[in-house]
Amino acid sequence: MNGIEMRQIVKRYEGHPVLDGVNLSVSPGEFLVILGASGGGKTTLLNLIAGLAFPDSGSIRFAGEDVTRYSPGRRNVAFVFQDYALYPHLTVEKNIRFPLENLKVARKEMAIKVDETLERLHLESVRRKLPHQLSGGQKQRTAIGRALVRNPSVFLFDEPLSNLDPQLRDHLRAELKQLHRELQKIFIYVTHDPISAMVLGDRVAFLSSGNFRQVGTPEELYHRPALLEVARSMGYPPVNILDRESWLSVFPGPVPDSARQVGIRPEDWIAVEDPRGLFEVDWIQSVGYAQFVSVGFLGGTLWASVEKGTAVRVGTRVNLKLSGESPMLFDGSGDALPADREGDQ
Amino acid sequence: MKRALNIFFLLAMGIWSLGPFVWQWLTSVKDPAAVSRIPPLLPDMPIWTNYASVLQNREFMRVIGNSLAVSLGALGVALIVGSLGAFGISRFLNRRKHLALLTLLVVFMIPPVSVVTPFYSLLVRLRLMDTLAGLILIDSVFCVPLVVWVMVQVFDEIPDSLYRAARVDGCPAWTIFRRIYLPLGQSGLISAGLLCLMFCWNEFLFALTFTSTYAARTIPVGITLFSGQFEFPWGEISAATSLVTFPLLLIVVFAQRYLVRGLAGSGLKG
Repeated sequence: MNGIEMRQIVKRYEGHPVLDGVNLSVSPGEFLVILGASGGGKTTLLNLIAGLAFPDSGSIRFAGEDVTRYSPGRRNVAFVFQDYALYPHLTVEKNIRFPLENLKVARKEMAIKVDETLERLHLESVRRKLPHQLSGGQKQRTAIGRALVRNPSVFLFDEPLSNLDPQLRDHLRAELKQLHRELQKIFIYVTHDPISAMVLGDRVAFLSSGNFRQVGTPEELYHRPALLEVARSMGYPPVNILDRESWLSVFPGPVPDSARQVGIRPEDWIAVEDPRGLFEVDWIQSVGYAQFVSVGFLGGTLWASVEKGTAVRVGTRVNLKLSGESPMLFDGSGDALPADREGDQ
Repeated sequence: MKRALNIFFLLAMGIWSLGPFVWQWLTSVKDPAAVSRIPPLLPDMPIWTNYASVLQNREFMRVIGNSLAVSLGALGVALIVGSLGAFGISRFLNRRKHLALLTLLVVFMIPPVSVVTPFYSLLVRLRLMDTLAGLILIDSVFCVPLVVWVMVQVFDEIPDSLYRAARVDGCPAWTIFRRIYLPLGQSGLISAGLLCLMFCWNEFLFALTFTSTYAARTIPVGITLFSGQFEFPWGEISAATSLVTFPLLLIVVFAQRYLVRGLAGSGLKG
């Protein structure tokens, strides 16, 4: 196994477990996104992988080798920080050369590697500029260049795209994905933004209260969430969650006995104009390619989609109709009911 | 009206604080016979004999040399020990950081007179009485905390991610200090260093108490010894004083920016 293996990782801060027995395998060349709320232990996990902190118990293996207690320098990982952490007093060129100097690489070889990296990331024209003179994209590329130049086996990203304006963020996401295709190295990207997670990840690992709650492809997390919490965190407008009784009052039909909560994505629920409908539209939201309406229901809000060219307006009475995708079912503790049991009972 | 008031107060402040310096300089270029006579307020012709006699005074030259040695020595110790200490406090102490800084602050709060006796016996035991090394040691006691205070503020502003990035890039802590923190803290170091220089250059009490010969006497002590038993050579005293305040004046004029930052960083915040 050439990837990363983490077994039973526990990390406490002041007695409080931040990571509580985490297991994770990352295959070679995989782009894994770790998704979770702020303060949920994501950054701690990255620090443990990088060697910036050590677990209280558990083991970390890189390509079979136990690196749990290795210093960061011995692990050959690269870390791209949220603020990029470029050394402000060094030029682009010197930032990129910095890690090589610590490795005691021969001067000539160093120059060649730096030049290669600058060229690969299209940074030759700014090689003598200081970080504060760079654009957002150039900063990210310099940060990646500094990581790349050592030829690391793992790249770690700590929400580097979270504070940028949307256009730049999309551009940098595309660059990152492209780079991953070229390098075929392990990328582990941590974020609290479900859209980044869905767009970037080969797999997404959902981290909450100190452990992974679900690891799977973005589609799996979106369409077959293992937990109510996962369902809620993915997608916009947010998933509709109704308790059993409310659901049955709207959609009389078979729901397994063990299902306490029912979830349905807005795009799977179509609002159809009906003068005697149960709901009244109080907001129409267009996201360009589609339109969503919100309707009040039992003191809460439900989201549904409308078909193109519909006459639905604010104040129109509507009924909601399922578009075919079956609803997600959860038991009393928020765990999803296994898909194969749907409809059995 | 408001403007006139401002100018008035500025002038008053200026005369209040610069007056003594001007007076001293005037005295230094007056004929010794005319020193205590007013008028004339201004000498007809500046005479430079006072300066000549000070500059030919071997003992005074020795004293200037001593002051340079003590100031630069203590400065060196303070910058090295203080910046390393600040790095440690800023980087590795979390909840105890405040306690560490307060402890160092106590050093400034203690009236110097109260520690003369312990310092005296310490220097006797170390056989450092009347030596430059002894004065360097004592001045460092005050300069190191000063540097720590200024530099902790400076280092605290360096983002944590830079430290972590350098760790991932394979740097041990020492290299991070040398290659990232020191260059980024440069202006802070200059501020702290200037404050130390001014402290050491002017320090009088310890220099007086712990020296007994010209082997280690510094300028403030040397100047007081100008006066003999029965006479006060005001002209020479003034010339000597003008000479040795000149470097400080240069510092204040040309490095004002750094001084203000150092004082603000160490005193007002925190």
